[in-house]
Amino acid sequence: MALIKDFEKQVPGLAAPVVVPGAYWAIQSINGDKTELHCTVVVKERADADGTIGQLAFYFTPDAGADNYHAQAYRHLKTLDAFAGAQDG
Amino acid sequence: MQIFNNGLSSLVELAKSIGAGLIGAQGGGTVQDRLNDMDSTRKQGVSVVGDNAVKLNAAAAETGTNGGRINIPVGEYRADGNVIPDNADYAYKHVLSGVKRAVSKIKSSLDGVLLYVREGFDIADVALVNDSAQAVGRAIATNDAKQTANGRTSDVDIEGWRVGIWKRYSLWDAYRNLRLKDNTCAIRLARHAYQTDNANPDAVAGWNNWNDGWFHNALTFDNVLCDGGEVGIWAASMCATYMNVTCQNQATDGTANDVLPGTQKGTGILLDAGTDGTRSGWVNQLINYYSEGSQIAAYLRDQRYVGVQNMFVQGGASGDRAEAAIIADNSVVEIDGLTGQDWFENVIDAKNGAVVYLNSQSGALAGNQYRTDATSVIKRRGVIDKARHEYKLHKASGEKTFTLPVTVPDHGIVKIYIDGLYDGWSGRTGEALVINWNGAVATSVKWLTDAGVAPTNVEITVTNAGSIDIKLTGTQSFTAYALIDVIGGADVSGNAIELTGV
Repeated sequence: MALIKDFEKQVPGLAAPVVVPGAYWAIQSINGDKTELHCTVVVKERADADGTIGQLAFYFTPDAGADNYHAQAYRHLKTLDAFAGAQDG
Repeated sequence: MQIFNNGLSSLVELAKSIGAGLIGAQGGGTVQDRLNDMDSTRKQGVSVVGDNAVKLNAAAAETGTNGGRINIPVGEYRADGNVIPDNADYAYKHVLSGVKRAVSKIKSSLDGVLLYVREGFDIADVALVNDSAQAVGRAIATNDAKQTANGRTSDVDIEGWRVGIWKRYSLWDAYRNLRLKDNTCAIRLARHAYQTDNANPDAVAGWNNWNDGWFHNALTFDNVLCDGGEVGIWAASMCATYMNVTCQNQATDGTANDVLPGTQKGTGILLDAGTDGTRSGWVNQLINYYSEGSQIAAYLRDQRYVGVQNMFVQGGASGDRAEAAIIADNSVVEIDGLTGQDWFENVIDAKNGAVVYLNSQSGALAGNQYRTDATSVIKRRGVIDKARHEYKLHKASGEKTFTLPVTVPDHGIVKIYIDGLYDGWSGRTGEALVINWNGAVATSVKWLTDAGVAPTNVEITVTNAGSIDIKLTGTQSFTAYALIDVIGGADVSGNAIELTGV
């Protein structure tokens, strides 16, 4: 499971960010407890890319009675403004 | 004397009379009788071309039911069908053993499973050889839903199979003195049902879950040789010790994989976990690992921690380099004692968020030494402390918040140093102390600047659970480096020496 969304990388000295269209965003790790889960996401140019181009971290309060934390993490990610329009990958 | 004059049947009778567990005597002696039939056939010079699996099956059924030893005498026995069927009743019952693996052989062309194993299986001193033209079948396997436990596979040759040893779930098993040759995959501890192609689906459920999850826990590999094929040992294991393992000649180029996923090149040891891309593996240890002639000596994927203690790896010629000594893929790997010789595309390749602590490397490992992608680091001894993390933060116009990938541990103390440049000319520097008392009280952030406040355009907030947000504000561009030092916490502060006051 992953999300497909453009990846923008700000580069000092350039007015506009470098954009990787349709980048592959996958949750790399989930740690914490029922009060707060801390997640990291890695970004690749595509699913089978040999290496990453970016990293993101976020956290949220899970619903301990709901489905697995992975699915909840992806759902939470999609509620963020920065992930508006992201597609399931 | 009379016992010996009367031959084995008298031994059986004696064993029955005194209730002793002589070899082959359990189950009324008929097991040995059946195997003696095969042995006598061999001794009489008749080529063993028939299918002895029927007799072996009978022996397996008897010992599986009543307990006992399936004794494989000196000789070669043809078994083109299954020898030990899958049967829950056979757990902790029988032993299959020969005299020595060089002289007690079961030969087969079976495209199936030769020996199904359950808990408490015990296989020793035999050779299991598949002599079909293509590497097909599995010599030793569980079914797709059950485990082995407390099992022993020792002093065994396994040769010519698609997968030499295959298990769906396992724990407390020992693998000792094995020689696995020309199997496409020598040993596979899988996270999914057996695949007839090179698909490698994720486990549906999590670790230690019987219902389509995955586990291979607390295993010992000692003096195991895997020679040839696509992959030596491929395991979704935890708390496994790979000790004095040799993997050599897994030299395939990945273009025609039968077992390895995708286009992965020949690999000596491949450790993975339940879900590709998620660091859900636990801990494993490689001790005195030798690899030669393999494209990738060790591919470590999605592992929370792998200790590599002593590893010799031999690459290829300058014009025909091996892929890597170690590929750390979304894993934390600590290496003590990496040595070897010849050429590699990359000696250590760290990717997808890998962290490699390289404490000691020596020898003549030639080629590009270290490759890292945007989210991975290789920290050589003395370069950076283990608990130090560096991040680069940048924004153009407007404000932006960055959540750090590291958290403040329970009972933890963390220092954050900010070193930045706002609008291309104005310095923004400061030092913050973050103290987390296990979420019981609000996490404290103290700026240690002269004024005791944060640098302009920098805000740090920390949740009680320890997640750290750094917000860069202001209308102009801002680039800053955040250096995070984890001073203490969790196992440090939580287990500190308790002093007695006076």
